[in-house]
Amino acid sequence: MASTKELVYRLWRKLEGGFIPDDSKFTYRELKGYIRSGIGLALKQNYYESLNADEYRYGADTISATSTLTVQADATTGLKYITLPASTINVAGNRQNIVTSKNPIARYTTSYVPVRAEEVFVAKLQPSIPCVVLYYKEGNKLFFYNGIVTDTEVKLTQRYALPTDDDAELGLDDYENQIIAQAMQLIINPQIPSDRANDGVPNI
Amino acid sequence: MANVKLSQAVSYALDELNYGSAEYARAYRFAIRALDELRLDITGGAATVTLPVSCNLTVPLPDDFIRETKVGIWGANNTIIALTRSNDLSFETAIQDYEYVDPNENYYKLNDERFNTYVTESLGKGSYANVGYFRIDYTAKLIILNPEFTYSEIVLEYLKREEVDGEYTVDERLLESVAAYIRYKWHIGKKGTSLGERREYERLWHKEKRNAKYRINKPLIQDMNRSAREGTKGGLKS
Repeated sequence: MASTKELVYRLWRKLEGGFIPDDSKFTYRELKGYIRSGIGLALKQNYYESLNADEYRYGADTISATSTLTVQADATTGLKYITLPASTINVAGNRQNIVTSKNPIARYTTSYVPVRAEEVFVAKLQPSIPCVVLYYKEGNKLFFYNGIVTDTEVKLTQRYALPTDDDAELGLDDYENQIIAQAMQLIINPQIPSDRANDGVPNI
Repeated sequence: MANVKLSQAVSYALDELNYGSAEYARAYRFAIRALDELRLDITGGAATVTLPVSCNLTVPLPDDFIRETKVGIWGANNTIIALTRSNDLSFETAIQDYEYVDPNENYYKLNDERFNTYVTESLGKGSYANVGYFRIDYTAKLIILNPEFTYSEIVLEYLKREEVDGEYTVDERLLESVAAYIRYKWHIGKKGTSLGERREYERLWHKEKRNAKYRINKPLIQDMNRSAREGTKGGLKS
């Protein structure tokens, strides 16, 4: 399984026709941007393909990244929160960020349940749900409420997250060629400037 | 009869619908509504309270009152003698003029002209034990009693609203009903659900509710035998 860095260098070699010279007109950062966009598209494609293949709403289990995060308290509101390490693809719903205790199957573990930010308003008007901690996403943070968070650290599983570490394996073997091909198409497609004066000389 | 956590019924529905934690909160709120529905029709426990009669012959309803099941006075052998419901009683409860009758008795005789009526008793064939009349004003949350009512207390047996402290629990015989309700409500507003599917889910919910009712309120053979014997009547034989 290739990582982001491997895909970037694969693309770079194709563009340069072999060895990458020191004076290459491309930079790593620029090519990484194209590759990341392709990765995002591939993730979204995989997600919808999984939905079509199976009624399971959470997509492929293999495409997820797990991390242990420290629970912090907001100084102004007192709400506990965690900061998301990576961003996920843009799909509707709240299935992308799953929070559990470090040992989710222990007998006295706290259960964490995601809700959408709009649901927070509706839920306040109804009986509260006992024995779970609810959390909602605001920006790049997940805020907890409805229960006492006793864990100082929680485990976060992000599904279909765009990688933050260039060396991390992507798990998108089926889409590697597609990602590179899309990036190639964007880079080598010549841009024809318009000719507003219609004098045969393109406007630059 | 064992009570299990409501979250178990929720998990049945989520499992069936192939959902997970992201749908738990919504499904749980549906389950709470299912409990309310089932409590009103099937499992609601009745509470019995003794309430004092006010000077204007009214009795305020308790705060957690949902619906009355019996209104009466205490009889012998720990029984309740039922009052007779009368929709002829007015909701007017203001005392216009009163005369204090007896210092040992806790009521006032009303001298208002509206109350100068004769008391009708129930006599003869088809009669019933009639110790008083009542009417419930649900808006004002009062039980209105007839002017001739002489008792200082009444007994109210009623369906009460239950306050839940902690985890919701449900009778294990209702698990499938709760799951059916979640399924029904989930699809009622779901995009792409056809009218036929919605009706089918509603039908299945009603079916499970009926099953739960029969499981919980199942008549005993001995009760049916007694009803059959009591219904036996003698007749002339030609």
